Amino acid sequence: MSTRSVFGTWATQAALVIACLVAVFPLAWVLLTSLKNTRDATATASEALSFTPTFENYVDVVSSPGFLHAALISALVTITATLGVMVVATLGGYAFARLRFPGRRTLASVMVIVQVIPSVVLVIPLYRMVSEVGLYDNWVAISFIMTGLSIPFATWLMLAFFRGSPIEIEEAAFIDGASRVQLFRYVLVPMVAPGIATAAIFTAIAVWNAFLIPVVLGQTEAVTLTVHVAQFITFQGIKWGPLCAAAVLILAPIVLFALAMQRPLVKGLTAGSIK
Amino acid sequence: MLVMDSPSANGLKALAKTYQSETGIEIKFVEVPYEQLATKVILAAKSKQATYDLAQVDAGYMPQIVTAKALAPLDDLIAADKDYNYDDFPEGLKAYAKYDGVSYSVPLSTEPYLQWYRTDLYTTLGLTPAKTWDDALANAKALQAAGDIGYGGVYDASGAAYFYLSMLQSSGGRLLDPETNQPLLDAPVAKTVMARYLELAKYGTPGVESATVFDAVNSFSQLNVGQMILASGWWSTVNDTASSKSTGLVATANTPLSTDGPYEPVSSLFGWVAGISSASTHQQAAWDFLSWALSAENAGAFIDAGAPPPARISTTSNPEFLEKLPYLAAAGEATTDGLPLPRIPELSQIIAVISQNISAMVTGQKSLDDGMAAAQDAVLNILVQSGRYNG
Amino acid sequence: MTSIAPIEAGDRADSAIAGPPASTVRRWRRLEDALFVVPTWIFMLVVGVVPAGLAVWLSVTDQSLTSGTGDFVGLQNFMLAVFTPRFMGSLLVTLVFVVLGLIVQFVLGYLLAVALHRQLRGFQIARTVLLIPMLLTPVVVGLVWNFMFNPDLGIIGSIVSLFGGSVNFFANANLAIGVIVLIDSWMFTPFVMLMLVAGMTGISDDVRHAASLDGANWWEQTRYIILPMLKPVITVTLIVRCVDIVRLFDTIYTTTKGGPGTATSTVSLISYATTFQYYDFGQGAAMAIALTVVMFPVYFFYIRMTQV
Repeated sequence: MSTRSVFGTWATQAALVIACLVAVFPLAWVLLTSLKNTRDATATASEALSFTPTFENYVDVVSSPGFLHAALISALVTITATLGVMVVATLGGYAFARLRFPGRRTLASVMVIVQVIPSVVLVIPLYRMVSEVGLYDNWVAISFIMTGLSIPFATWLMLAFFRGSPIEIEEAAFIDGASRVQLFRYVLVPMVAPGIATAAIFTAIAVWNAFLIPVVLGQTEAVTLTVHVAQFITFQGIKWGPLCAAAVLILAPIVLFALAMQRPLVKGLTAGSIK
Repeated sequence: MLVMDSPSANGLKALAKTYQSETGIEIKFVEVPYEQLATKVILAAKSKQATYDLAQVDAGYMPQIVTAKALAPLDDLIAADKDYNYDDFPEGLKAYAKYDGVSYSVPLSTEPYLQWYRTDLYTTLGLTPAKTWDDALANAKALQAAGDIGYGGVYDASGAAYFYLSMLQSSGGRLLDPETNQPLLDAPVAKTVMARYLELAKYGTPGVESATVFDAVNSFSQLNVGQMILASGWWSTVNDTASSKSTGLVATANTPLSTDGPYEPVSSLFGWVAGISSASTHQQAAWDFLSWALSAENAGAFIDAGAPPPARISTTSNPEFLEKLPYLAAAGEATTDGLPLPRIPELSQIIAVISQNISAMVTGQKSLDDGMAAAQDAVLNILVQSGRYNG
Repeated sequence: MTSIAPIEAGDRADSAIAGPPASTVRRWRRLEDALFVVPTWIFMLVVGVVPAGLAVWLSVTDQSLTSGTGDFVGLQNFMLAVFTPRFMGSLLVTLVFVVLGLIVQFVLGYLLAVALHRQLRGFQIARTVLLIPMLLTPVVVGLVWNFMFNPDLGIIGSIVSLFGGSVNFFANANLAIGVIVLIDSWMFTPFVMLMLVAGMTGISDDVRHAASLDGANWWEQTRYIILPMLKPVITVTLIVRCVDIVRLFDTIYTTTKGGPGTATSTVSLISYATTFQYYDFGQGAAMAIALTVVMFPVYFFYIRMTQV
C-alpha cells in the first residue's frame, strides 16, 4: 500500500491532534488570563491555574469609552471597506474573466504590485496625501485606503469564481436580449454570490486586522481596535488582564467566522492556484 | 488632550472632572502609547489639522517636537496670567520647559532619577542606601548573596540608554561636550560606566537583559528587588495597594554619585511638560485649563490623585506635601542641581542607537569595546548629518 | 492576511498571456468594457501608483524633520541610509527570516498536508481548527506571544524551568529570531498545508499506486513522484510566503521591537523607525524603495506567474 504502511493511522491522527493543540493553546491561554484579576495575571506561570475567575477585565475594557469608540471605528471601517470591495471586485473580476479591455495586463501588474509591496513603502506618501486633503485622523481615509489595498486579492477571487461559472447562461441571456445591466444584475451576481460572500469575508478580516495604516493615519478620533489594544502596554506596567480580555474580544469574531465559514475560506485561500 | 497613561495623566484627568463641574468645559483625554506620543504630536502638526489642543510631552523630546513646529509659544499667555504665578518655579525648571529661549511648554511633572530601595530588605541585611556607585554594586552583591535580587536594571533595545546616560552623568561623564556637542562616548569614563552598567545586570531578575522600564517597575513592585534607579514619578505606581506587593516598603535616596570623569557628578532631571498645539483653535481655553490645573492651589489635589506635581517652590517647601511624598525634597533639589539630558532634537535617535548597542552588549552580541565604538560612531553620525556637530 | 493572485499552475508560457475565452460577449465594444475596471483603476492609482511615485520623490529629496528643505538631493538619502551597515544588517535579518520561515513552514506544512490528505476520521475538524491562526489579527497575536514568552510571567519560561533551565527568549539573538519565526510559522504553516492539500487532491491515486507496485518506498514516492508533481503549487506557495515574510511588521513590532540589539530589526522595522521615530521621511522612503528594488525579481516572477 502507499503511505499508509509508513505512517500508522494513529500516528497521523496524533500528529493532527498535536497540531490542533498547538494552534489553539495560545488562544486558550489568553482566554484563561482574561479571567484573572491583576494580581493573578501577573503571578508567575506556575501558579497559573490557582485563581478565582472574574469578569472584571471584560467589564473594565467594555466600560472604557476608548474601547467602545475604537470598536465603533473598526466596525465602520470594516463594513464600508468590505462593501466597497464587494462592488469594485465583482466588476473587476468579471472584466478580467470575460472581457478584453485595453490595458488589462498593465492593470493586472499594478494590482499585483499593490498586493505584494511592503506597506512601509506606501504608508509615508499616503500620510502626506491624506494630510493634504484634510482627512488626517478621519476614518473615511482609512476605509478608502483599506478598500484599495484589499481590491486585488478580492478581484482575483472573483475572477476565479467567474471563470468557474458557465458562460453559456450569459450567452443565452444575451441572445434573449437582456441589457448589460440586466445581465449583470439578474444573471451574473446571483451566480457568483458565493464568491462575493467569500471575498467579503476575506476583506472584512484583512481590514479588521490592519495595523500600520490606521496607526499612522489615525490620531484621536480614528482609532481602530488594533491601535487601541497596543495602548495596554502603558507607563504603569503592562495590563495583562485587560489586554487579554481585549484580545479575546478582537479575535472572537474572527474565530467564530472561521468556524462557521470554513468551507468557503479554504476554497478562497487556495482559489486560482490549483487547476 | 493627548496623554500617555501615567500618574501625571491620571492627575490631570481627576482635575478635569472638577474643572468641568466648575466651568462646564469638558476636556477629552486620548491615550497614546509612550513610544507613539511624540510621533502622534508631530504627525498631527505636519498634517496641519487640529486633532488635539493640549499634549503631554516628554521634556526630552520637546526640542524635536518644537522643531517640527508642533507646539505654540506660550510666553505671552504665561506673562498675561497672574494667577499662574510662573515666578513660583525655579529658573532651572523654567529653562527645562523652554527651547531656544522660548517657552513652548510648562512643567507638568518634575521627576529626577532617584535611588529606590526596599527598607525591609535593607534593615534585615544592615545595608544603607548607596552614596557612590561602588556602594550600589556592593549592595547588589549583598542582596544577591541573601537570595534577593540585587539591582533592577533596564536593558532593552529602545530605552536602556536613559538609565546608562543618567549613570554617566552621575559618574562625572557626559554624553556630549557642553560647548561643542562633540559626542564623548569614547572617553574613558563612558567605558568605565558602561562596564559597571553591564556588571549590574548580573544582579538583576532572570529576564533583566531584555527588561524595559515597565518590566523593571513591575519586578520592583512584585518581587524582592533590593534597589533600582527610577524616575520619582513612579511613586504612586509602586505604592499602589491594588497591584503592588512592595507598598510601604519603599524609600528613596539621591542617585549614587561617583567621580570617574572630568565633569561634576550630577543626578539627572526628567519630567513631563504640557504644551498647546500650534494648530489648536482654542489656545486660550487650553491655557486656562493648564494654568488652573497646574496652579499652586491645585497642587494638593494633584498629589491626591497620585500625580507627581510640578516642582513649584511653594510645593516642594510645603511640609504637608513633603509628608505625603517623601521624595519631593529631592525633586526640589534636582531642579537646581539636576541636569537634563542634552536638549537637542536628535535625542530620541541617539537614545535609540545607544540602547540598541547596550542591548547587544548585555546579550553578548557585541563586546564592550565594539559596542562603545559602535555607539560613539552612530551618535557622531547622527550629529554630523544634522549639522549639530561639525568636528 | 496572505496575498495570492490567481496563479497558472502549469509551466506553459502561453498561459501567461491568455485572455478570456472567445464568446459572444466579445461583440461588446472594448472601450465600453473598460468601464468595468474604472473603479479598480481609481483605487489602484490613489493607493498604489501615486503613493509609490511620491515615495520615489521623497527618497530623493531632503525631508528630514530637523533640517528638511524639501530640496532635491539626488541619491544622498540612499548613500546615508541604504549603503550602510545598519541597512545591510536589516536586509540580512529579513533574509534569515525568509529562509528559516520557508524551511520550517514547508517541512511542517508538507507533513501536515500528508496527514490531512488521508482524510481520516475528524480531518475536517482539524482543518477548521488549523484555519484559525492565519486569520487572526497579527498585532494581537504578537502581544499574545509576547505575554507567553515574557521572562518573568510567561508560560513558556515556566515550561522550560520544569526541565531545570532558565531562559530569556528576548535576550538571546538566536532565540529572539526563533521566536519571530515561530510566531510566523504558527500563523502560516496551516496555509502552506492547505495549499499543498489542494495540490495533492489533483494527483490521482493511480500514479501513487503504480509506484508502490513498482516497489518504491515512501521516501522514493515522495521524492520522485509527489514533490515533482506538486512543484507548481509549491512554487506558488513559497513565493506567496516569501513576499509576506518580507512585509512582516506587526508581529515583530509587538514582540521584540527589533531587539535584542538589532537582531530582529528587519528593513520594514528600521524604515518605520527612521520615518516615524527619527522623522526623516526621505531616508525612510529610501530604505523602503531599496527593499522594493531588492525584491523586484520576486515581484516580477509573481507578476509573470499570474494568469490574468
